[in-house]
Amino acid sequence: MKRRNRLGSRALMALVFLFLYAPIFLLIVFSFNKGNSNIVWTGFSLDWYKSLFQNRLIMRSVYTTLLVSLLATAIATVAGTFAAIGFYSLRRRTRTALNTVNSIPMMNADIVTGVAMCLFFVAFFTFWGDFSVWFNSVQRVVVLPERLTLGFGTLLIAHVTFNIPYVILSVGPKLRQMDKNLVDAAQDLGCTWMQAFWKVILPEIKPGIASGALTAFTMSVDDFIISYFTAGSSSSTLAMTIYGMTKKRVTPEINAVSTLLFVTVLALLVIVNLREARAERSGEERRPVSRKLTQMLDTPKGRVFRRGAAVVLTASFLIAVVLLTGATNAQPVVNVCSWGEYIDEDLITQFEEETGIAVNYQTAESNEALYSLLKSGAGDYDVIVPSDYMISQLIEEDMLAELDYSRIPNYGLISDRFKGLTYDPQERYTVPYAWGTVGIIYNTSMVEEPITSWSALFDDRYAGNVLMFRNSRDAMATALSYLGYSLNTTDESELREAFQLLKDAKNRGVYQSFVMDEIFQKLEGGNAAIGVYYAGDYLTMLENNEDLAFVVPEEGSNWFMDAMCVLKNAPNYEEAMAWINFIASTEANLANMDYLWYASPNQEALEQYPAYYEELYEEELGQEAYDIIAAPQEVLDRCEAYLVLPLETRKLYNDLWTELGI
Amino acid sequence: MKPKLSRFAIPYVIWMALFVVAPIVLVVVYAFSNDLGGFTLENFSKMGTYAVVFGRSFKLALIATLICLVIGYPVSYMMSREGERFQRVAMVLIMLPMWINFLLRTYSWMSILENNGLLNQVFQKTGLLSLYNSLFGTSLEYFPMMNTQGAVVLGMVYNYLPFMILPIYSVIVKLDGSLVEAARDLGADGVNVFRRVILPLSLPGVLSGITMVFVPSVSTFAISKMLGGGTDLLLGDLIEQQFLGGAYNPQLGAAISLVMMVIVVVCMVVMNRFGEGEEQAVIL
Repeated sequence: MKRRNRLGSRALMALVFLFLYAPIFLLIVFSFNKGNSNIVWTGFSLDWYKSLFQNRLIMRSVYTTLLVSLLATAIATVAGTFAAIGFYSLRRRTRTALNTVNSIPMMNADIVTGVAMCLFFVAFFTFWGDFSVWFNSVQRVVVLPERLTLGFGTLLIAHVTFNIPYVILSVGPKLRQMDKNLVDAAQDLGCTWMQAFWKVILPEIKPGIASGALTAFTMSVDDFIISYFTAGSSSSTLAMTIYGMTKKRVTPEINAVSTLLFVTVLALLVIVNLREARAERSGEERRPVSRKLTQMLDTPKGRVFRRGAAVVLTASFLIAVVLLTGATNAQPVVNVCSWGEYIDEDLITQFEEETGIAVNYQTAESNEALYSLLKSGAGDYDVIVPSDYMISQLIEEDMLAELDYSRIPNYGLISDRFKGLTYDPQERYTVPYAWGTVGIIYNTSMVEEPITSWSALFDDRYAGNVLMFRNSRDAMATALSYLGYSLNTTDESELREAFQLLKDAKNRGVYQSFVMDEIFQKLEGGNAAIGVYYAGDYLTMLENNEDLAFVVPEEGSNWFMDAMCVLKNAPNYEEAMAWINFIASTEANLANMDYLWYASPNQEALEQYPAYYEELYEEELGQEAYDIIAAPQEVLDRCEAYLVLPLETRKLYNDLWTELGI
Repeated sequence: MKPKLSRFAIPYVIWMALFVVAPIVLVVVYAFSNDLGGFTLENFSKMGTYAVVFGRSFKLALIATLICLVIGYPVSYMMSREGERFQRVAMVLIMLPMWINFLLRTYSWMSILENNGLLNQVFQKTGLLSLYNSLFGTSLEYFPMMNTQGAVVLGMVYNYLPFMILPIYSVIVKLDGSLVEAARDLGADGVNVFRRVILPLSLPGVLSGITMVFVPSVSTFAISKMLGGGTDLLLGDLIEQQFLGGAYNPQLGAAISLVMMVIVVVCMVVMNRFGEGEEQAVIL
């Protein structure tokens, strides 16, 4: 009877563990896959492990993650232990109140904590800016930095803040279990409070400290949301890097790095547990190393050593902090924010080698998201690559700096027809980066007839198989275009009609999901029949799925120009000019055009690309493909560029967009 | 003179004031101001529009919490009855997944659940799909699992189940065995022992488990975006959208955060009324 019970319970536990480990097992298996798919097994290889160590983005974020977690855990463990002791010796009422405040970061939703800290840091930076300007103007002895930004420092503060409560939570109970008289007795016997702490309290609460530190470290490594709001643009944890990738394709290198981390932790835990189990079996015979160490430290000689060790530890910690903050200033750097997979990454390496300027390359999801990043202060960039209408808006809000064109001789290579466009008529702020059109991408094996009209995006026949844009301007444009209205209409009734079209289609279940770069894997994998996206990206998808087709709908569409701009007060203006000039060159434009399959604004590159392609791939670039990259005039004639909308219309877009999600 | 240990608390109290209390005060200030910094209640008057999102988030989080409880409690209970060695290994196994970032684990679910994903391929190959089609007269090419609310709940359960198991287990395992013996000696049968002794004593663990699953579930945005397809917004998505997403409006975002925070706090206070002594809420 009893035996059977146990069998049942073990079966249930096995099921739960299967549930917990199946996805992880899958991740590990596919880190050894030859191909880059997470579904199709194409053979065993260790290639992803090899390329992992060459992937700077991943390696850097692993480094950041480990560094911030270790530092935060160390600080939080020390601070939390002292705080717990302090709490413990407070009067009951004060203690309860403080405990409540202490539990806020644990009990509060991560997103609220993240948002609150982001707001706080940005507010503080604004205050600091004003203060330091005033301070620097009244005296000359100390020059304070006038510009602080989100970065490693704020990330660390955030991690320490959410880690300390876990330490207190696990140290607190141990303190309560401790005999209160011990401390008093020690002090009566002549211990200073420091001695009382080292000799009496610490040994009692050690297990609590250890488990608190472990929890804190685990929470730090696993955290994404709070980091996402406090890390700014200059540092990125592994979780943030992964989040950026889940939008497009997670490279199996991430599987590889996770497998390595997983195996390391597994090995550590196994070793620790084996040791503990063995120690238990042999009773008190073999004392753990830590015990021996404490004993050694208790001798008079040890006390000197201990004090020395404390000094060394503190000093090395301070040095580490100084180095960390200093390291960012040592090398010239340029912070670039662009779109996902919107550059041939070899260009970054090439630029770094040629100029010695490090490139910190970040991505935003859409123009609207970029705007939010800039406004909230979370994004701190030098060069950004927004689209036409967003450029106008940024100029309108006085957020862009004028360019020094004398430092950008390659600007002369830009085709005249892309100079002085409506968003920058006097050619003061921008250097064009790439252009293209928006159209429908569909899977020919999943639709009955070729698609030519926007109506496909609102058609019940394709219910559950359509992917819609996840940004207000592009999504609304599909509906406006279908209804025959201007993409730049400010007429509220027209906008509401377009919104209703989208809303109804959504409610009827036409849309499988709202996507940005997730569209790549969904269309390539045959998980959806129809999507709407940018022309160049279609050609990228075509490489992985030959059934896909592209059309610029007959009703017309949007054509866009993305251009490089520099933000006002950019800390690295000189470096920004060098970067822009480098990217504007014909060679860089050719490389980018080949990588992105968006059309270049550089006249030479545009003309030379077919030959470049032929030389590189030893096959001819079809006219059809070329026309998709660089839309011919008759297609452009039915397309409209976005113009900046008046504030009121923008607010309406925001409201409608939020409402659409509801 | 006896030095006071309580002064050890001072640095952390200052730290908390700066990095815990001040930011939350700032959220409140933002929630009550317009984009020019003036006082307004406008952000809250709009809140009615988002009632659906609140409803949906709380519904999904509640379902996920219930599922976690239904799975987590028996597992914790059974674990506590196993040998010490087994318990140690099981604990490690439950903690370990947290070392693979949750985004990645969730991403892995995407490749399992997609229309062309692993599970659907298995269904196709084993003929389960055609069996289903012939039974119900449908002509499905796959079972739609991705981009549904079910997938979002699955993601929540998957990610937060350890947060339910750990606190319950740590309370049950510390239960005084002699209490159970006493109850048996006094004539209670297995059901009664569980109902009148074990369950009430494990309540603090259950309560902290519920909180630790419910709060992150109700405010998640990554899981819903990845598994839910972004068609049905959850509270987390809505807040993220106002700060770093496509509809910049931090005042509204702060107001939504505030309302969410208040509702969660009220829920927790009410819940803790049922189980006093929640100070024992332990995670490890």
